[in-house]
Amino acid sequence: MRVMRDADETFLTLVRENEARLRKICRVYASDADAEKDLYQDILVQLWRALPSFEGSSRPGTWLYRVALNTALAQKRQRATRESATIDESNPIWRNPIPAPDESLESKQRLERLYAAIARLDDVDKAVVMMYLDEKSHREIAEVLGITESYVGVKLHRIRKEMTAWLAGEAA
Amino acid sequence: MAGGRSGMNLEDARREWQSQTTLENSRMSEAEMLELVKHSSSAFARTIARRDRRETIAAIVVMILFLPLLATGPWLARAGVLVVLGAFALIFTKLGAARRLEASERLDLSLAELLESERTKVNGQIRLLESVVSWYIIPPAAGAMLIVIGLEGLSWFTAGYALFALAISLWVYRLNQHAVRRELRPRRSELERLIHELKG
Repeated sequence: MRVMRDADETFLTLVRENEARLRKICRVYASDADAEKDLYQDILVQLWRALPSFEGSSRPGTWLYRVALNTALAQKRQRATRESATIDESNPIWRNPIPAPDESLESKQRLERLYAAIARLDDVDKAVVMMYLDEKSHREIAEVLGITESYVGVKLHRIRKEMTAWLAGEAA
Repeated sequence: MAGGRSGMNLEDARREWQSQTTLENSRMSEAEMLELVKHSSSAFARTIARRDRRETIAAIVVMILFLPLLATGPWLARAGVLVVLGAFALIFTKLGAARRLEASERLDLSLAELLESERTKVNGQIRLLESVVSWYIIPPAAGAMLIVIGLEGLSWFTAGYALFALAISLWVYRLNQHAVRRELRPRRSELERLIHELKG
């Protein structure tokens, strides 16, 4: 019983501390708002199922990114080979956020532009740039993706150049 | 894009990215969330258990149906029963191994490890379905044919049965090849695309 409560608490803390991050991953990889909700629910279920391996994890951030990213890409692959995805319209895990009164229109537009620029990248580069924006180190990015740190550097160099051009270009 | 917007560099982008927060009013209660996640997770486990139970029951039914023939039938029919039982054992073993491999998915691996492991699984599934004639179609069909010949001899009924079995076998073969073409090969291509994106 105590073990169960510990697992519940670990899971809830994990979700509480990373909810915004998980939603960003959903927004980047989902094709529309319904798919976003579906993916969010799927990621939570997979985090719960993978929780036993979290206990031994030395880097919780890396673990979370791995599970969330792998779930997002797996769901995308499944959708690609399915005619249509099943969306739970009444999905209660996700409630649409209500904008805060002080959220500026300009900030919203800038975010839209940022997401539009990320959407132009391929699936792996999207993951790299999300972790870069989250200020993850080259080492952490390499651990999530399973590539070398120096190759992360090469990828980031190219992605930053592309993103800079796109973000500047869209402002013109 | 509308004109007149100010430019954004990557440092601005970083700030915007990190400024996104989840609003309290967009969350469901933690107790509700836990219940839903646990329910979805156990529903998955129940589905697997139900499928395993159904297959065990099917195996028992096949045994019950064929065992009397094994005790009393002509020798050719008895040999056929043995072949059918052996074929079912082979099919259950092959499918069981494939499903255990499928269920062993670990999402906490690095992306590179996961993609390689999935590609190995998909290649295994493709091989399994492409060789379906040798382990899924011919063994039970041959066993059933021996039983019919043992019971009916070489007759019009036997010839009709052979044609019927051939038609069913062709249909099963085509279904499996369709699955390879429509599902597994596209999945493998998608995995290879991702591996290429990852490793350059």
